[in-house]
Parts: sequence; C-alpha cells; structure tokens
Amino acid sequence: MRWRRSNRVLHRDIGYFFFGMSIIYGLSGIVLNHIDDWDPSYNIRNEQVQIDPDDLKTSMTKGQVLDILDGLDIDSRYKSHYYPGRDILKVFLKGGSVTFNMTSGKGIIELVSRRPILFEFNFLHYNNPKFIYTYFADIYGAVLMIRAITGLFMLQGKKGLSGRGKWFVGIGILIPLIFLLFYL
Amino acid sequence: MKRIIFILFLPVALFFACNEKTSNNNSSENTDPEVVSSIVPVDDLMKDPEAYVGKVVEVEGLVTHVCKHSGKRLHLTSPATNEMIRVEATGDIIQFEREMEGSEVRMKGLVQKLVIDEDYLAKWENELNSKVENHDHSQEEAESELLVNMRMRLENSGQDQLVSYWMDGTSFKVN
Repeated sequence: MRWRRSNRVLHRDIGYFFFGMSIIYGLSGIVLNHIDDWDPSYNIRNEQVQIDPDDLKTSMTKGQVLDILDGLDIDSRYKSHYYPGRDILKVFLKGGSVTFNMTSGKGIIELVSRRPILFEFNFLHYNNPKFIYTYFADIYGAVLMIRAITGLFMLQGKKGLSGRGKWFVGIGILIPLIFLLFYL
Repeated sequence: MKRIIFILFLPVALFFACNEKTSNNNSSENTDPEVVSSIVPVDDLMKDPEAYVGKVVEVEGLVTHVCKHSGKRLHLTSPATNEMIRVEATGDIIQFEREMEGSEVRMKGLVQKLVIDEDYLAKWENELNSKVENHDHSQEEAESELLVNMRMRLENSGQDQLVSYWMDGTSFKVN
C-alpha cells in the first residue's frame, strides 16, 4: 500500500536525521537520572593532605598561600583565597579548590574537570544554548512521537501491531501507568 | 518527500508564531527600574541592601559558590567581611559555569527582596490548602514541610519577619 511505503520512508529518514539527537538525549538522560548519586558533568577527585598548622595564619597574602601550595605541587593553579569560617581557609584553584582546617592543618584538595562528551551532551539536554536550539530540540521531541507512531505500522501480520506488537505496546504503556498508580 | 518536509517543519512554524505573540504581550508591560551608575562592592550593598531593592546595580565580589545541580545561582562574597549575596541567572545568562568559583566578578542585575512574616506564611498555607482541596497532591507534602520549617525559623529568630535579599543577574564580567 502507498501510505505504508510513505510511513516506512518517514520512519527511516527521520531516524537517520535525528540519530545524533537520539544518542545525545539517550545518554544524557541516563546520566541525569542519577544526578543524586554522582555529578553527571564534572569529574571530582578528592585528596587529603596534611600541612603544619603553624603555616596557616588568619590573614595570609597571596605569596604565603602560594608557598603552601608549592609544597603540595599545585601552586600554578592558584586563583584566589578567603576565609569562609573562623577556622577555615579556602583556596580556589584553576579546576578546583583546597579547604584547610587551620587548627589541625588538614586539607582537602578537590580537583574538578569536565567529563568529556557527557558535559557537552548535558549542556544540550538542559537546553543551555537556548534561542534557536530550543526549537530544534522541540522538533526532536515531536519527531520522537512521530517515530513511535510510524513505528507501529512498519510491519503487518504476525509480527505487526495486530500480532505480537499489540502485546508489547500494551505492556510498554502499562509499566509507566503502574508507577503512576503507586507513586503519584 | 514534500509531505515529509511539511511534517518536519510544521512545528517550527507553529513555535515561531507562538513566540511572536508572547513578545508582543511583554513589550507593553515593561517598566524600566532605576539604574545605579557606580559599581558597588558586595560589602556596601549588604551594609544597606534596602537602599538597592528594585534597582539595577553592578556589584563586585568573589564567586565562592556555584550551584552544582542547575548552575542557575551563585554566591558573590566579599573576602574581607564574608558578606554575601545570592545571584540568580536571569536574562541573557543561561547558566553559571562551575569554573567561575574563585573568580572576581562584576555582576549586573536587579536587587530583589523577600519578606517572610506571619502574613506571608498564612497566605502560603491558604494556597496549599486549596491545592489539597482540588486534589492536586503532587508537591504538597514537600511544600508543607518547607512551610513548617520556615515557620520554625521565623519563631526561632524571635523577630516578626525574616528578610532575604538576592540579585537577578542579567550579565556579568569576570575581572
């Protein structure tokens, strides 16, 4: 039938065209689902260090802070520093920070770097480019629905919607409904 | 093929049409807030925040925190006194990058104020109750909890009201 051929062509070509978007949204969707367990866009590495507490003073110059960082081999990363609490010195680094307890001399170095690929994918998933990308992403959302509908009519017979297809479609709709029933 | 192109681009036409209507509506309602011409350090702003409420100000300070989840807010702090103002990303600012932490920034934006007192909490409670009556249970539990916390904070403060100031940031420059 003619409409079935058009349906197949539509399903195939929008699948080709939006292949990239499907990968972007699929992968970032998985990682953003677990945002409470990890940082999906940044790699964070923590390291504990110990320095002599006598080296830490309540009003330090940049030079004095750099001397401390030099001993930890991170002096080239220095950006700025301040005292968020009476007993705490926080030093901002390019790509992280070090927080020192001024009484104990204990410090925690936090090094932060962008996760390759995931940072960029999440950037798009959050619609951070805004403007025209918003419309492109909207079209992609609409196309996902068109693909789902055209997909229903790709095959006829036993493997089509009237055969096993109807069971898969039914179960696939039922699963989110069950979650809605229990959690809404 | 023509049919496929039509289907693909129909949503674009619809969205542009909707967008145009919204912009037209907004243009007639805008009134420009007063602009403070000098650059204000965070210290000075927080010494007398009331004087800046409703005004557009350029504030200088150190970025000590960027919201890790959304990137939509940051803390602008004075390293000398630890005075801090929260800045929300609005206008042309899409999000604050985490790499901004530790940078000296000049932030332009509108200073805003929220007063939390018994009237505010009572109004909030009424809205919450009407949501329950309308069987809109989606967020009411979390909101009720927030309301109770807020009321406790107000009571514990021993004052009639809690005042919170923040800035709706519209543009910024990293010094």
